[in-house]
Amino acid sequence: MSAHRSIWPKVAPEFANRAISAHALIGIVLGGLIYILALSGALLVFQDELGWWEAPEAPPISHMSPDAVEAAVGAALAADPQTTTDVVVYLPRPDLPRAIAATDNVSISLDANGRMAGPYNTDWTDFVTALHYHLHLPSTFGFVLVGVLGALMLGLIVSGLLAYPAIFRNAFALRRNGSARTTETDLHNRLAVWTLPFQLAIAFTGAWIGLFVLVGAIFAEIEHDGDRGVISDIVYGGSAPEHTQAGFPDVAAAMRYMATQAPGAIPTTLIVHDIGAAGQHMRIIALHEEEILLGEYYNFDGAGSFQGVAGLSDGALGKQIAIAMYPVHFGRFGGTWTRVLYVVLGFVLCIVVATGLNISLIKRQQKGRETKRLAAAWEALVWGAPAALALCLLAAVCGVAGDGLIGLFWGGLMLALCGAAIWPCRGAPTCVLQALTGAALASTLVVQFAIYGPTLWAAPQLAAATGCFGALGVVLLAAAFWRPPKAMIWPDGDRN
Amino acid sequence: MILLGVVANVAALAMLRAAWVRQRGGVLMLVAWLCVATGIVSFFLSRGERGVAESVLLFTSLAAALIGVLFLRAPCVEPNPAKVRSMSAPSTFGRRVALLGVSAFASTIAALSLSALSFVLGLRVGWEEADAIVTGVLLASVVWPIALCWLLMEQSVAIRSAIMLALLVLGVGGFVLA
Repeated sequence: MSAHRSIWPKVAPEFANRAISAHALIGIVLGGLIYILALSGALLVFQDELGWWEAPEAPPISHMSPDAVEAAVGAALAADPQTTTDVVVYLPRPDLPRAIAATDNVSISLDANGRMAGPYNTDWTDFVTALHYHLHLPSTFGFVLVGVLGALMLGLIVSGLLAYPAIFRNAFALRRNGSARTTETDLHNRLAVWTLPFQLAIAFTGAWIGLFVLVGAIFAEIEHDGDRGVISDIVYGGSAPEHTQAGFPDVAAAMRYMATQAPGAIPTTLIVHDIGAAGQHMRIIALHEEEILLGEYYNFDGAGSFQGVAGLSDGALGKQIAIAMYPVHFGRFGGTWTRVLYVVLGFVLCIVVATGLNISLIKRQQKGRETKRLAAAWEALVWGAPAALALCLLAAVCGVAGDGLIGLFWGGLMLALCGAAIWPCRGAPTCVLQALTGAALASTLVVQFAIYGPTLWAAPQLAAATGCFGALGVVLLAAAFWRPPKAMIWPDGDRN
Repeated sequence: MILLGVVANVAALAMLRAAWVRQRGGVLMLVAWLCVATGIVSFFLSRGERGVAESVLLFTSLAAALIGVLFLRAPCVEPNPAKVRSMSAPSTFGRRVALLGVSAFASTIAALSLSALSFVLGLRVGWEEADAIVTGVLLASVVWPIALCWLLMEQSVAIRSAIMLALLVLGVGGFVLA
């Protein structure tokens, strides 16, 4: 009888050890930043809905006529006392029935006739967006850094697969009663292997989006005398017509063209560039019903005459690949439940990162090296980041904006880290920060309800956000007070 | 701008040498990233001046090569070698971070230059520019993590030396060709 041959690849132990070393090294150095990106990214899957919840006075509307869209552009201009270059109208969609208009300086919500319904201030959502896109660093540098982190996350995934050749064979093994190291390792590996396609997609598309800025700048130097805008225009389309006259743009004509000539396209955004000036032009971003990944940019001049499409849905392969990166990264290709899945998988990614660092700390502790302060600091980061985000949400609904939120987040996080490292106390960071997060969320709900009342559940999206925040707050408060402080991995290297 | 690049990189190398002699691996990493930052900042500051930008990138690549040489050879010139272990078997956290920093730098240069090379070659063989751009970015996104993992996993000094030099030669060559 022939010996049973395993279908799983065999890797020399020495090779696996080297891969573990590489995997651990990248994870230890960059784990904190990747964790913050994963957490903020999970929240931003519902970016539009969160923004609406922050400013719920935007009335639910299902449709805007071409004349109403034109009126919306006028309303945005009237609401902005300063000069503006562009005006953007975010049109109602089946999954997001509200309309917003924004200039360079202000945002307003709209009613179905295109009239202003109220200001649309989404300071917290903007703050989280900036955190995820560029970590609040100067935008170009931060954007590139986040792209590099995406590439390094890909490196983590590759080295992780090389490090644990049995990771697929053991896909169903989850030991919860062993040592702390076994428990954390199993949790890390099982969650990682089951969510591998998602992680690969997120890391690769994130790296691509971020590196496009850096690599595009290099290509611009090589071919277009450093004009980076040309690179973006080549890939995404955007050449401006030269013959448009100054004056108020004929937005309604462009919208009517979409309704009659492109009935299969769902317009989601109208952008008027250089509004009022000679050379003004419009772009309508539309989703295509028959394509899950691709949309199209429809270009118009200021008089509303159709100028052509950017070719994102049927143009050069490169353009199609480029535009497909965004829905894959943000989960906007399969409806609401796909996005819910993205949120869940995003939080799973946070757990994978957290347990990865826990494994390293346990190994360090088992080697007899000082771990107490490091473990406390890491615990403070893991629970401090959501606590800081929740506090920022509370501050935002109370009127704090911009730099105030950035200072609160990073200052609060640093305070938690330093406090935990200086006074390490077993399980305390988890307990305190969970309670803080829960209390901040509950307080936010109270403040929002006091301001807006039943508007908070005027639409299913708003009701869902209200319910999620409320449930999360209750769960975290319960976890903090009704459960003994979570056992830590120090000082004895095992759980209680 | 060229002067800035040269001065910054020479100063960085001097600091690197001093840091190495004092066995400060973390400082080594910071210095390596200082070079990266200098290169990137110089690059963006010199927008529109193609020759200058290329020069700065070349100097940064040169700095990376010298860092690689120091990285591999420094223990041999350490006054008291008995107290210093080779970087090829990093043991302290600082040294491991240094290994990551230098490897990240080399993989950065490799990814960006391969990307630039593919862009130029794509245009020369008649691709649409959008295709060449997207291919270049895709290549950078894939090469970067693979090169980094390769460098981090390789423990043989000779092989790592060969990989790093090959990547750097490829990098400099890519930019020259581009």
